[in-house]
Amino acid sequence: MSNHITIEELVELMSTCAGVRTDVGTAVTSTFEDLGVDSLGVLGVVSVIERRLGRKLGADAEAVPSPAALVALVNDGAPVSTERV
Amino acid sequence: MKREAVVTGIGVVAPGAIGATAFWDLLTAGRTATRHVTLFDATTFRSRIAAEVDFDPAEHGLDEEQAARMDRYVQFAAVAAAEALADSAPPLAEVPPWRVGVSMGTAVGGTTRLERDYVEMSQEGADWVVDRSAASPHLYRALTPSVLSGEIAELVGARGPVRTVSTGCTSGLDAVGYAAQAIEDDLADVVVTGAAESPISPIAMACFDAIKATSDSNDDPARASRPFDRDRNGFVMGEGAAVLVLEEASIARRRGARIRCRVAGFANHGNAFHMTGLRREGEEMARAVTTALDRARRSATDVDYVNAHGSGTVQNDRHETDAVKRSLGEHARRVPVSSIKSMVGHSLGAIGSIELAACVLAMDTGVVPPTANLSAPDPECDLDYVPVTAREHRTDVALSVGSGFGGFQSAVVLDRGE
Amino acid sequence: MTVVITGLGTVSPAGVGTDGYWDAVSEGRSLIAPIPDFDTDGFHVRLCGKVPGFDPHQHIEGRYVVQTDAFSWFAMVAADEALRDSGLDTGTDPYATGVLICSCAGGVEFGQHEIAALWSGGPDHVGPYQSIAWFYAASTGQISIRNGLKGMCGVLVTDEPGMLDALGQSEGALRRGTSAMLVGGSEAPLGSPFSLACQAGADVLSAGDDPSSAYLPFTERASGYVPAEGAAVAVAEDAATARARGARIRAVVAGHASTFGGVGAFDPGGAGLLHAARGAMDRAGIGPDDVDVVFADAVGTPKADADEAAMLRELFPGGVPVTAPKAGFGRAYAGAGALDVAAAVLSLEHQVIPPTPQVSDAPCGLDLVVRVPRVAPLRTALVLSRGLGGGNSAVVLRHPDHA
Repeated sequence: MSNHITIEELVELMSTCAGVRTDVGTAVTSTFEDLGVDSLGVLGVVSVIERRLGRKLGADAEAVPSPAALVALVNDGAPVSTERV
Repeated sequence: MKREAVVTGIGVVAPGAIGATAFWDLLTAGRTATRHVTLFDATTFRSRIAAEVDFDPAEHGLDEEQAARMDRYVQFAAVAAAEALADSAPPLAEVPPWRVGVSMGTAVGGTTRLERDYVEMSQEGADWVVDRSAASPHLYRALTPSVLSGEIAELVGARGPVRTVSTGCTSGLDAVGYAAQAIEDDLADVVVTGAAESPISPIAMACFDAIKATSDSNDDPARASRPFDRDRNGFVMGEGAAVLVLEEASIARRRGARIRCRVAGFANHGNAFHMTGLRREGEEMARAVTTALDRARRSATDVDYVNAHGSGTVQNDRHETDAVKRSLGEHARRVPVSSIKSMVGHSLGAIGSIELAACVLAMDTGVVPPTANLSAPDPECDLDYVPVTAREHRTDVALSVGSGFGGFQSAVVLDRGE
Repeated sequence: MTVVITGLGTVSPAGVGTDGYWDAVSEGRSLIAPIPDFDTDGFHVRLCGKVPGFDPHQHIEGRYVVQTDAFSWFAMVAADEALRDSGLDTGTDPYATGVLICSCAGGVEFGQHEIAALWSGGPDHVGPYQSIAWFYAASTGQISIRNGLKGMCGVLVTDEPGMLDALGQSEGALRRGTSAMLVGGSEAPLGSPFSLACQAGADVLSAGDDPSSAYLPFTERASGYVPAEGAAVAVAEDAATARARGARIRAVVAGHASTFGGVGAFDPGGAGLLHAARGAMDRAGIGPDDVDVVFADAVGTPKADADEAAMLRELFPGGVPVTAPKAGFGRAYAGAGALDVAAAVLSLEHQVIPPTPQVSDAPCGLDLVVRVPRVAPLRTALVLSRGLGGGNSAVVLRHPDHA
């Protein structure tokens, strides 16, 4: 299983988990709020990523403001939580 | 003459305390009933704590058939209703049954039984097309919580307006508010009202896990529910029921009933903002408070005690603090405000009625219950939350507020009449 | 104060929209078809009234669609139509308009998916929307949010009579200062096998597999009802407010009453429904001779039908035209009473009594309107409804020119 996500995958997840359709170009320059992805939508996206990766992203993941920041958190060595998965 | 609804009896089934007397002892002692979940194996859950009722239906007069037929939340309601009826002794022989109503609240109704049966019928979630033959004979009663009010109506002998109110976590306030309005509007003379919930089940706990709304202070369950405290980290699930007997005031007076208080005003509003999120300013809750006070013909400075929603989530407690300030103005800083969820947890739809029962008892006894576990307040929560210890304080006008998923904001004003 | 209906919206087995609903109902068209989504062999029910080809994305923004169950989709779509129809300005004062949408089963299909995820995958497989999609308050909450409505917001669970009770409740809300109430009933109980299993437990569903004979209320062949889905939403206002803004008044809600008849049966004996009907007529200030048509509850079980027929004969010794359009599409629980209210409003408007589909004769000593629509001068309609939880309700609706 990949330990990374791509912005394309995140765009797809925003559609399935939060019901918000966008494109890569818009996603990388927008915040979740701009896109209309609310707090529950971000929680849903994070929870699917955590299940795919088999690791927790930590308590700050839902507070990440934008798709770009979330991709960075996942890919650039976010601290791996020791919590039960 | 204007018709008014007065409370002539109460009954409570709360975590750590069955019966109004035990309930009030628990609250005024500042004891917490939150603990590790025992009703199911919560090992794999984020939040593994809850405020549970130790409850044996047989001990409280429910026979085997009733215990099998009624889901746990309905059993709680039946026991609380029996206590409230004994307390009030409403004149059911003189009031025609068509003039006796029931108004009961619940947020999630028969979820516990639905899930238990579902697990049996689906091979633990494996089969989408379930095996109907594995269902319990009472499953259909779990699908719709109209059964809650119906069972209480049968207990009371009510044949008037009988309805279940299901506005999420404000159900327990709204059910009583609707009951009072039914009396005011001449639709009924006696209404048995309240709310019940038994949500300590895997699916109900998991859905709040998923949005991190519940506390994960699993190492310290007794201190996990910390409304208004700097270290609060979510609500602690509770369960239980409370029932109030409401009567039209002149009937109660005529029969010499002990009138505990009047349901003087009620209002609710949607916040039209978000299903779970709250706007910081608390405008809609403040508006509900102001409208409820107007309907009670009371001013903000008349309020002697505020029973807070105080769920212990970061956003709620700030939202509510601001709403109380916005609606009560300077008086907000003088009036005691406390959250009994610190002790009995948050029983979703039931808690509003349990909190109204606490308000009635506060008016009866001249004591206001504390907010347990409040050792270091959030600097943004700067009212008098009656930390840790109950306080002697005369209450003639009590305000109870609630806030729930779906954006519901409700307020009920109780007083001693005019 | 007089409560009037100034807007209507429906989602029914005839599709989305009130015009299509009236076309189907007035023609007595049968909309009953096999349950399409799964094998119902073990459930002793084969037919249903399903909203055909419903795609929520055609009507609702994606972020609302993912958060909600179909029962809230139907409610949101019906609310949109009702608001448009009413021409209500909800923007100037958000506190002026309230919402009260009834359901009796909630988002049970959404819930089944999430319970399945929990039990097969563990707690972290439950999504963030389970906490807001399943509960009975989901539709009222989402409609309030989506349309910016901050007035009195409520939810009643009284089964089929929900909409009738919501109209009664809205009178109290309007009297207390809310200017308009969006009231309705919505249900989507067909997409989930578990939901169907719960319904089947009550032993009131028809096991028939012939759409033309599965749901035959008031006949000797009555053997239960066909379950259905759908919603109807109405905008209720005080008549004076509605007139002042130049609204088109579609019907007057002249009286409402509700009673209790016992859990688990449809008002055995019929005394509760009779009392509710008399109560609603008293509040409307009318007598039996003033009622031009009755929209019957028509459960379709021999006992419930006999009780209702007896109650109607007692209330209307001189007879009254009776109809049950739901025989053409089934009983949609909290949507049932709501769709009946909508049918009654449309019937008054069109001066046509829609027939009871599939039923070819008029037994039980009732003047049941069958086979073809009946054109008649209609001023007043009585709508009746009962639920398995014990509620019985009645509403008197009057044509605005004759109220």
